Order: sequence, then C-alpha cells, then structure tokens
Amino acid sequence: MIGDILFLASIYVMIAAGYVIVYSSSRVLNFAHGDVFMISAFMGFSVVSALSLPALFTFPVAIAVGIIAGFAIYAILMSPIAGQPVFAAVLVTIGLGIILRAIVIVGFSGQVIFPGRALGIDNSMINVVAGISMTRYSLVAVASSVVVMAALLAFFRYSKLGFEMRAASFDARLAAYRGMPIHLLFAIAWGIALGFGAFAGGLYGMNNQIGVETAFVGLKALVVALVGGMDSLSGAIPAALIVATLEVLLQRYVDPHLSEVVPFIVLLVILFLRPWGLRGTKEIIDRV
Amino acid sequence: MENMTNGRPLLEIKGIEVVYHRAVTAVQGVSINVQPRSITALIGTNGAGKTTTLTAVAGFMHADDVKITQGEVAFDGIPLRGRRTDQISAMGVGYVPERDKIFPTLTVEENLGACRGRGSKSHALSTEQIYGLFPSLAERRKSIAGYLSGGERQMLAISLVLITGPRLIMIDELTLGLAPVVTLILADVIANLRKKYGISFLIVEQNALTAVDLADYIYVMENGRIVFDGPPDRLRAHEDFQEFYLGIGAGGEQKNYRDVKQYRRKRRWFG
Amino acid sequence: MLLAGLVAPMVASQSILHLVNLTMIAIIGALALNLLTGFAGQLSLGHAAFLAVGGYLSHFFSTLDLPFIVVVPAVMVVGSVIGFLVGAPALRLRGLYLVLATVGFHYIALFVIHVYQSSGEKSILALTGFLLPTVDFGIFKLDATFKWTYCLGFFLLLTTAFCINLTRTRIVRAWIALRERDITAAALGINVPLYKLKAFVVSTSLTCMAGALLVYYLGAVSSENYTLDLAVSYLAMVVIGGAGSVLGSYLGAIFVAVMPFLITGLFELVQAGPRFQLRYIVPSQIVAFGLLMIMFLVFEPRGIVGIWRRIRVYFELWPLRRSILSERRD
Repeated sequence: MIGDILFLASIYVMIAAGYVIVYSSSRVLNFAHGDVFMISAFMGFSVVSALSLPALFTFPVAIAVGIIAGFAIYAILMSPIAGQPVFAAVLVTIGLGIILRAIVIVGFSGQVIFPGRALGIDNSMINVVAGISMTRYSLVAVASSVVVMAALLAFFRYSKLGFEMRAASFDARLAAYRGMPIHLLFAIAWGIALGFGAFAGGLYGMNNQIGVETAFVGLKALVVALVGGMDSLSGAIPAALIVATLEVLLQRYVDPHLSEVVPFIVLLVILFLRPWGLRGTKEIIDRV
Repeated sequence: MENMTNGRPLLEIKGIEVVYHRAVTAVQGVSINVQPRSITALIGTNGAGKTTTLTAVAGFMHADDVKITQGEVAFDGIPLRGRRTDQISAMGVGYVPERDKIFPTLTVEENLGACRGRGSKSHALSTEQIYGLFPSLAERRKSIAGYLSGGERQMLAISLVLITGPRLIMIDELTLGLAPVVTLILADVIANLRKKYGISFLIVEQNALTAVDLADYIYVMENGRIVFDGPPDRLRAHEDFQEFYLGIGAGGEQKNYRDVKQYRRKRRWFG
Repeated sequence: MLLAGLVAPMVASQSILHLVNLTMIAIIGALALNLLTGFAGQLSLGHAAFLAVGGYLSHFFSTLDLPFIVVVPAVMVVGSVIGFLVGAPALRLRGLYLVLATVGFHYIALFVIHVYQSSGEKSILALTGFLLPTVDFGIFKLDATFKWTYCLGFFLLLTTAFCINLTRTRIVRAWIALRERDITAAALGINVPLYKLKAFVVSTSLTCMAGALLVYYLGAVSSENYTLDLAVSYLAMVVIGGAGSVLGSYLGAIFVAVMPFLITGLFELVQAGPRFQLRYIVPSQIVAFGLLMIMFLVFEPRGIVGIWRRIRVYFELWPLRRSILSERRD
C-alpha cells in the first residue's frame, strides 16, 4: 500500500510541477494540463505499438508530445491574449482541454487501454524495503520523480536561464526592457511544464489503465499544486504526499468512491484556511 | 532645431505620432535628437506624453495596444520602429521605467545576475565596476531588492542597464520621490558615466530646475507635442518657462497658459 | 408579428419546440450566470452543481406532494440560502482561487447528490435518476411540448425583466465596479463583501430555478447530466454572447444551444455516411464548441455583443476617428 501511495504521489508531483511552472510564468491555471497528460499517455502507447518499437520508447514519444504541446499552446494561444484578464487564458485552456478529450474519443473510440499489459512489459512486484513492495514501473516512477524535481529545483535556483525565467515571471515588461526574450522564455517554461506532465503520463500508463477520464488525475494534481503553493515547486512535494496518502487510505478503508472527492475537500479546506498553500507567496495576483 | 553637431545624432526621433487603442493620439509630430555623449532632458507636466515618447524608442508591449503611426526612430542610423523590446535593448538602448524598475523579489545580486549578458559584451560594466559606482549597493548585495530605499532602487535600476552595456540610457523620472542629496549623487554618477564610458542620456524629469542644471539640451513637451527646445540658458531666459515652471510672474500678474497661443490645452476625455 | 409569435407554438413541430424550450431554459441559466460572472466578475464553474441542486431539490419537494407552483419558489428560496452559504466563505477568494473553489464545490456537491441518489430507494430507477410528476396547475396540465413553450416563455420574460431592471439599479453598478477593480471599489465605499454575497445569492437562486424548470420539463433528473463540461458550456455562453449584458446572455445561449444542430446539418450537407456521422458527429460538436470558445476569447473577448459594439463605435467615430482628441493645427 505504501507503494501505491508513493507511486500516486510521484505522478501527482510531476504533473503539479507543470501547473506550478506555468502559473509562475504566465499566471494562468492551465486546465488543459490534465488532458495533455492523458493524450501523451495515449500517443506514447499508440506510436510504440503502431511502429512496434520497444516499450521504453513510450517515454521519449510522450515527452516529445508534451514539449511540442507546451510550445504550441504558448505560441498559438497564450501570447495573443497577453494583457487580457486572466480568466480569458483560463477559459482558453478549458476550451483546449475539451478539444483534446474529443480527439482522444475519436482517435481511440472511447476505449480504455492497458498500455502496460498491451506492450507486454515486465511489471512484476519488487520488494524494495522490508514491508514495502511495488511494481517495477512504480519504482521507476518514484525514482524518476525524485530526479526530475531535484533537477527542476536546481535549474530555477542556480542556472542563468532559470534566473531569467524567474525574472520574466515576476515582471515580464521589465525583463523585456532588460533584454530578455520573454516570449522565448515563456515558451520554454510551457514546454518544460508540459513535457514533464507528459512524462508522468507515460509512467502512469505503464502501471494503470488509461481512458478519457484519465484527465481527471490531472485535475486532482491541480489540487496538489495549490496545496503546495501555486508558485512553489518545492511545496508540491509534501503536498503530493499528503493528498496521495489521504486518497489511498480513504479509498482502502472507508469508501472507494471517496477517492474522487477527497482531493476537492482538501482543496476547499486549503483555499479557506491557507490559500497560498504550504510554501507559496501570499499575494494573490490576477494578471496575465 | 539647434540640436545639431557634426555627425549624426545617436538617437533620432523624427516626427513620430503614437496612438493608443487605435483611437487616442498621445504624441504628435515629436522630434528629438540625442547627440553622442550628451545629456538631454525632456520636461513637461503629467500626461504630456513623455513616457510614451520614451517607450516609443524602447519598444512597446503587445498587450498595451499602442503603435507608432507616423515618423521614424533611428538609433545610430538603424531604424528601431517595429523591433522587439529585447532586440532594442541588445542594440544598446537601455530604458529605466518610472515604476517597476527592478525585480523586487530577487536580491541585488540576483537582479544583476539575471540581467547580465544580455547586451553588448564590449560596453558592459562588470559587477565590480558597478559596485564601485554605487558602494551602497555593494553593501546590500544580498538584500532583497524590494527592501531597498527609493534612492538605492534607482541606483540598482540604473545598474541593471549598465550591466548590459548601453550606449544610451533613457530614464523616466530620474529624481521623482528622491531626497535632494540622492539627487545630487545621481547627477554626479550620470556625469561620471558620460565622461568615463561615453554613455548618452535622455532623461525625463518633472523637476525643471534639476533638468536645467543637469542637461546639455532640453526639450519641453505639452499635450503630446514639443513646444520648446534649446540649451538650458535659452530655456531659463524664456518668459513662459519662467512663469510656468518657475512660477515667476511678469509684473506680478500670473499669466495663464491658456492665454498663450501655442500652449493651448485640450481636455482629455480618455484616461 | 407578436400575434404570430404567440400562436406559433401551437402549430410548430415537436422537435423545433423541444429545441426552443431547451434553449429558453439555457437562456435563463445564462442570464443567471452572467449576473455572477459577467457583471460581478466572480468567475464560477459551479453552475452545473447549482442546476443539479435545483433539480434535486425539486424532486425532493415533489416527493412531499407539493405542487409545481409551490416547489419553484421554494427551490429559489433554498437556492438563495445555498448561494449565501457558498458565497460567504468565497468572499475572501479572488480570481483563479475562486474558480478553483467552485470546481471543488462542484465535485463535492455532485458527490453528495450521488449519495442521495443511490441511498433511499434501491430500485434500479433510483440508481440512474428520479422521475418527476407532470406539472398540474389544476385547471390545466403541462402535458404537451407547446404548453411548456408558453410556460417557459413566461418564466423567461419574468427573468429577463428582472435582469433588465436590475441593470438599472445601484446593485449592478456596484457589481461592475467590483468586476473591474475590487480594491478600488472598496476604496470608493462600496461594501465589497456585501455585494459579492448579493451576486451569489441572486445568481444561485435563479440558477436553481432554471434547474427546477429543466427537471420538471424533462420529467426526470439524473446526476450524470451535471458534468463540469456543462458548467463550462454555460460559461462559454456568457463569453461568446457577451459578459455583462442581458442581450449577450440571449445570444450566447442561443448560439451554444443551436450550434450542435448546425454541425449535424453540416454533416448532412456534406452527405457523410451514417457510420462516419455516428463516429464523428459528437466529437465534432465538441471540437467546434471548444474552437469557438477559444476563437472568441482570442479575437473578441467581449463576445458577439462586443462585435456589435465595435461596429457601432467604428461608425460613430468614423470621420473623426483619430483626431478626435488632439486638434491638428494645420
């Protein structure tokens, strides 16, 4: 069971990182993130099975889908509406999410797929430590999430590009005056954010079934991002663990249907008690 | 116009007209020349169009829905109109806005680190040189920039431009809100920068006296147009300037600007 | 012409009337959401949840053998209380945080409704939804589609009159101030929390009424109809039609309600085969819907009303367009 919690938390944290990065740079809640997560999982699987590639190719394909999606969404949708009130951008992402889901319905006839099984991977249980056992790919997910988060945190804190992205996210206008190519920086932010979300999609597919409703996992990860603090990458880590633990425990011991609603109860509690989350900054800004 | 020397001006603004939201003309028929190694001041009251003129050079943001509809802007002969803001900065034009001139959530060091490297490598000042110019910044290099005093912020803002190696620095409201002693320090630094590094300045200044003391050449702006330009002495002697900006009435009678022909004021209907 | 309009429902075809009825309910819903989101600027994705609450409350009251004329006002009253309960904690939230809170509210409300639906009677019917009795006024029953057309038309007229009246009052002016800059509004002495609360209460009450009407009209209520996508489509109506405008609510609701049929018509025009249609028609409607939303947001965020206003302003300003404020000296 701890294995389940860790796996779920790893998926959540990688998707949540995507929400945080996009929110930090563009001040937008990307409601299409969960749908990109879902469609990357599908694309990863279908490309690999169509071309009969080794199963591991799922990941580069999914990541590529995510990065391209990130760049494209920013370039085509976000930069034209810069300056409009934030809810316009949010509604645009909602509209996009609707379209992505429709594409999945058409492309896969609304089926539910088990990529892991279909690709014939070896997903046997491993005994990691005394008492904790998880599937092979769960372990891969957990390990990946640790590496990914460490890399992201280091990137934003220490690299020149990370500095510039932080500066541009605080004040894009000033950054532009100081010579930073803000549109490129934002496009990179979106590419990174969606790329990692897509990677999580690929990982999720290895362990679980995927369907149109998989996008819902992405929505729950939004709660994780909020609980950690919408502009805090480091906050997403404890937040993911908390939400995943609550979800799995309540699902096991109380009522399976609760897994759908628990994250939202946590959401409301956090919003009313501590809207800036565990480690976010206190101000509530709403400009694009 | 008298502002000609041998050779080409560093910055040429030729008869520009700037329109907001495709409906409001903020600036009309404005021409300004900034000679190399000079300090040029642009003075005028609130809403005269000074900031718009500076941003017309520095580059507009798409979100503001503003365009140069007539005229040209050239830096060292190269046209600027239509270029991206960051490209213009890389060419050596540094703009210090009136507000939002630093990154308040980063430290002084991080501010400088973020801006470094985005400009001319040859002209750029190094961090040590900047700390040499502004010792108080050196002392507070690890402080969060949001906690700096007004004067230190202005110094940091100028430093962020210096680190990109500008040949022209445009400052919107050099001394607004600053104590007189800070104003003196800044004036000193500017004179120093001009002498040592050959940097030219175009400074928007509300305080006409400061401008007149600091600049080599002055433009006066009203209602989106240039109404006067000349060296400081000619401006000081101009009776309208004396009345309006210095408050000296001719023969005790306070002359109303509305009565002066070319300064006719129009009420603005849009904010 | 008015006479023709009044008589038309009795002779028009069933399917058209059905569409008209659904559209009228949608307009009422759009008006309600426009009050909260368009005028007062409180972005809410909880609309589907409120519609559901209205529907289930109606069912509950109808099981107490209360007639339609009592149920609808009762639902509105309870709806306003719920609006108060939801709005009060939401007062501290702005912008995106408010949207998230409404999303959270949506899922929680639906969960509660799901529990309510699957407890109590364990019949198969109960698992998928509840039935409602035909509306009986005593003198006549609403047992035909065209009778509903008149009834819904009446409610729509009432609601529209109410909204138009509201736009003339101080309340809506305060809401608009709220929407633009609530900090400034507070500085101007507008009691921000009070007006936010009023917006929630009024909007929720109307939404619950719309939910009740829908559920009586269809004769059944089922939780699976109340998806987050439904809330999104109402938001789209407000955006596409024009936020902060009564006319905009009409235009947006009509547009969104009618559009799926346009798509169907398009498919038939292209003479697509039945299998092609089956597979692609619903997703195409969905894609078209999403694309329309996006295109309006990018190109004309003030909706159809915005386009209309732009055209008007262009012609009003035309000869003077640029020099209106700065007099040319030459």
